[in-house]
Amino acid sequence: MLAALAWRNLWRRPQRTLLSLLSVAIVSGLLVFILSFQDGVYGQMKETTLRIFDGYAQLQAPGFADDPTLDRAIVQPEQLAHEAEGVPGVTVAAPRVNGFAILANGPRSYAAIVVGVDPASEARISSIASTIQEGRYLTASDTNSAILGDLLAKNLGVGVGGKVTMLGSARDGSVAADVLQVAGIYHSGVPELDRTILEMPFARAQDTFQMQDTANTIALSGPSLSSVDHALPVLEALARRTGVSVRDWQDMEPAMRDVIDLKYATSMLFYASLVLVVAFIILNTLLMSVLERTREFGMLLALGMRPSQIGTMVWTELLALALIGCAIGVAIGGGVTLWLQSTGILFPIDPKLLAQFGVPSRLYPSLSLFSALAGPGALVLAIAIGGLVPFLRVLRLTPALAMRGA
Amino acid sequence: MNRLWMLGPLAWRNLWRNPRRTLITLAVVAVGVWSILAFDVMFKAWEQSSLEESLRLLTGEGQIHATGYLDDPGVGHSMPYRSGALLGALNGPAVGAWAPRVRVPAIIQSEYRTRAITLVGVEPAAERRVSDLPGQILAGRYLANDREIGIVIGGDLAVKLKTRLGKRVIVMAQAADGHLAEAGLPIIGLFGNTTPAQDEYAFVGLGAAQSTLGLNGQLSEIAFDAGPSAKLEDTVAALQRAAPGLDTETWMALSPLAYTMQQFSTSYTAIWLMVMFVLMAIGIVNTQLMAVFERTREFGLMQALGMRPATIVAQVMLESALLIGVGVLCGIVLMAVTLLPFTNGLSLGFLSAGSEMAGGGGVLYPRLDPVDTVVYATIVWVLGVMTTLWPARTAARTPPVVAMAAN
Repeated sequence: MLAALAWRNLWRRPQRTLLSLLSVAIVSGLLVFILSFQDGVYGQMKETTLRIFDGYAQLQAPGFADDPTLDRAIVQPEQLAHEAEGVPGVTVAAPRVNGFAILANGPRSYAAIVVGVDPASEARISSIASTIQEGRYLTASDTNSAILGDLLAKNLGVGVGGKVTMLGSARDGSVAADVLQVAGIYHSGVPELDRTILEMPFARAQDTFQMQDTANTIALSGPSLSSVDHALPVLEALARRTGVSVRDWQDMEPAMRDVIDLKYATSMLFYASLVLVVAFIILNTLLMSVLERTREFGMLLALGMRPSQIGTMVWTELLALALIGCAIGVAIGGGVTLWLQSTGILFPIDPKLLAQFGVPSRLYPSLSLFSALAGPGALVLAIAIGGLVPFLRVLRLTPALAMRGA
Repeated sequence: MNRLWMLGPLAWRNLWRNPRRTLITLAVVAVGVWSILAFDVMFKAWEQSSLEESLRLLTGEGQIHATGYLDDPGVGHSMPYRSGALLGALNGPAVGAWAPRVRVPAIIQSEYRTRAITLVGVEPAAERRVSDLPGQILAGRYLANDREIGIVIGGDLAVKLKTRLGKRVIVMAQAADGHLAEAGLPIIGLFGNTTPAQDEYAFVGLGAAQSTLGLNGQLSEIAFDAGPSAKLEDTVAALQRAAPGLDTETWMALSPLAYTMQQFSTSYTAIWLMVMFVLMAIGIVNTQLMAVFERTREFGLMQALGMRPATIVAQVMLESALLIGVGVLCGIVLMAVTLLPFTNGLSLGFLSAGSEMAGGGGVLYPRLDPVDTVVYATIVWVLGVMTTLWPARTAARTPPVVAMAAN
C-alpha cells in the first residue's frame, strides 16, 4: 500500500519528478560511460604496450628481473615453452636470450640490448615484426641476420644490408663478439626500444653468448591480456615446479601500473563529487516536497497512520526516484557506450604522441557489469542514506502542529 | 518605471516570507558553487604540483640543444658554450634560471656489473637552480664544483651495480673524436627519488666531462626556466631570436608524457564542470518551480489587483537573481574558509608511492584563482536566473481566476 501511495505521490508534481529523474539519469549515464571509457582505454594501453615487446607475461630465470645478467638462465627453454603453451589461456611462448653489447659500425659505437629470438613465435608475441619499415623481419633460415630500431640504425649510420660489429661479454665471462648483417629496420614508436634493441636469431645468440641450451626469459602471449592474467595461477605452479619465476604485466611495467592506479584514484574524486552533488540536489528537492506536504502528513497522522509509515513512504518515493533514474541512465549510458564500443572514439591528440604510451588514436570503451553498475549503485546508495534526513524529519511530526502547517 | 523600483524590496521580502524554502535553495546554490570551486582548486593544485615535480627533476621549463641532438643525443651534436647573444638572452629578464650540461649515452662499470646510462655533466651551482635532484641525496654529497673528480649515481643503480659510496666505477662514452673515452671515478654521492631517473642518470662535473670527452667547452644542452614575470612562449621566442641556429624547445615538446597527462586532465575537468553546471541548473529550477507552485494563489491575487504578467515574471526573476546571487557569494565565502587551514600547503603523505611515480608532488598548494572563481560564479548565477524563466512564466501564465481558486 505504501509503495502505491509513494508512486502516486511522485506523479503529483510531474515536472519536479521528471527533473529529478533527469539529473539522476544524466549522472548515472555519465558514470557508466566514463568508467567504461577508462577501462577500455587502459585496457588498450596495456595490451598495445605489452604487445610491442614484453608479451602479456614472462617466465624468467630467478633474479633476472633485478639483475639481468646472462648467468641467470632457464635450462632447456624450448621444453618449458612447450609446456607453457599447453596452459589454457596461453597460446604462444617464445624463449629469448637477453644480452648486452656495444654495437659498432666504423667509428660509431652504441650500447644496445641484444635479444636472441625465435622468429616464428616471436612475431606472434611482439608487434616489432609488423613495424618493419625497411627490409624484412627475421626468418627461420636466417643465421647471421639482425633487425634493429630506426633510431639505433640512424645512430650507427647503418642501413639494410649493412654490417654491425657486436662486442659484449658472454655468460662465462669471455668476450662475445659477432658480425651481423642488417636484414630489417623497425619503428615501434617507442623511442627507448627503437634506440636500444637489436634482435638476432636465437641459436646464433646462444652460440655468441655461450648460452647453449639455455635462455633468460620466455615471453608469453594469448588471445587477450585477461586470458593470460587468468592463466597466472597455473603458470605460477609450472614455474615453482621448474624453478623459474613468473612476471605479470604489473611487474614488467610498474610505471604504467602506477599511472593507471593513480588515474583511477584521482577520477574517483570526480565520481564522488558528481554523486554527492546529485544526491544533495535530489534530497533538497525531496525535503522541499516534504515541507510542502506537512499539512497533508498531519492529516494522515490524524487518520491513524504512524509517523514511521509516512517516513517509509517518503523514503520509498526517494528510492523509486533513484532506481528509475539510474535505470534510465544505465540504459542510455550503456547504449551509447555499446554504440561507441563498436565505432570507437577518435581522440583529438597527435597520434604519434599517443603511440609512445601505447594509446591508439581511436579509443574503444569497454562496457562490463562492473562499469555499468558501480557508479549508479554508489548513487542509489548515497541517495538512500541521505534519504534518512527527510525520514527523521517526518518522524518528529505531531498531527496537531502538522495540520496547522508548522 | 517607478513600479519596477518597488519590485526590489518586494522581492527581498518575499524571499524571507518562507525562510525555510529560501534557505534550502540557498544551500543548493552555495554547496554547488562550493563543490565546483573546491574540486577545481584541488585539481589545479594537483596538476601544478605534478607538473613542477616532473619538470624540476631534470627537464626544466625548456631546453636548448644543437639541431639534431634530440634525434641523436650524443657528442656529435654539441653546441658552443658562450656565444654573446645567447648568453645575453639567458642572463636577461626573460630567463629565471639556466644550467649548462653535457649529456651523452654512456656505459658504467663496477667490478661486477655493467649498465647503460645517460651521463650528465653539470655545473652544480647552476644545476641547483633548475633541478631538485641535487637536493635529493641519500648518502654522501652532491658535486661541489664542475671540475671535481667524482660521480653521483642513483641509489638504486648502485644496488644493481653491486657497488656503494666511495667505490670506484668506470664510465665509458664516445668522445668527440670518435674514440671510446674512459674514466675511473669514485662515487661521491647517491641520489634517490623516482626509480626510472635513479637507474638512468649519473652526474659528473661539467668541466671534467668536457675534458674527458674532448669537448672543447662545448655543451649538449641548456635547461632553463622562464623568468618570474615572463611567459614561457615569450622566453622561448627570445632565446630563438638570440640563437637562431639552435633548437629551443618547451617542456611540452621535451616531455610529451607530462603534456599528454595535462591535456587529459584538462578535458576531463571541462566535461566535469559542464555536468556540474547542468546539475546546478536542474537543482535550481526544481526548487524555484516548487516555490512558484506554492505561491500560485498569491500570483493570482497580484494579477487580479492589476499586476501585469510581465511584471510577475520580472518579480520572480528578481527574486531568484537575489537568492542565487546570495547563494553564490555564500559558496565563495565557504570555499575561502575551507582553504584557510591549507594556506601552508596540503601534505599528500597519505597517498601511496604511486603519486610520486607519476610525478605527483608531496605537498599541494590549493589557491582560489580569482578569474576562475568569478567565471564559475557568474555562470552559475546567470544559468540559475535563466532557468528561473520557466517557473516565472508558469506563474505569469495561470489566469487569475484559476490561480486564486488553487488549493
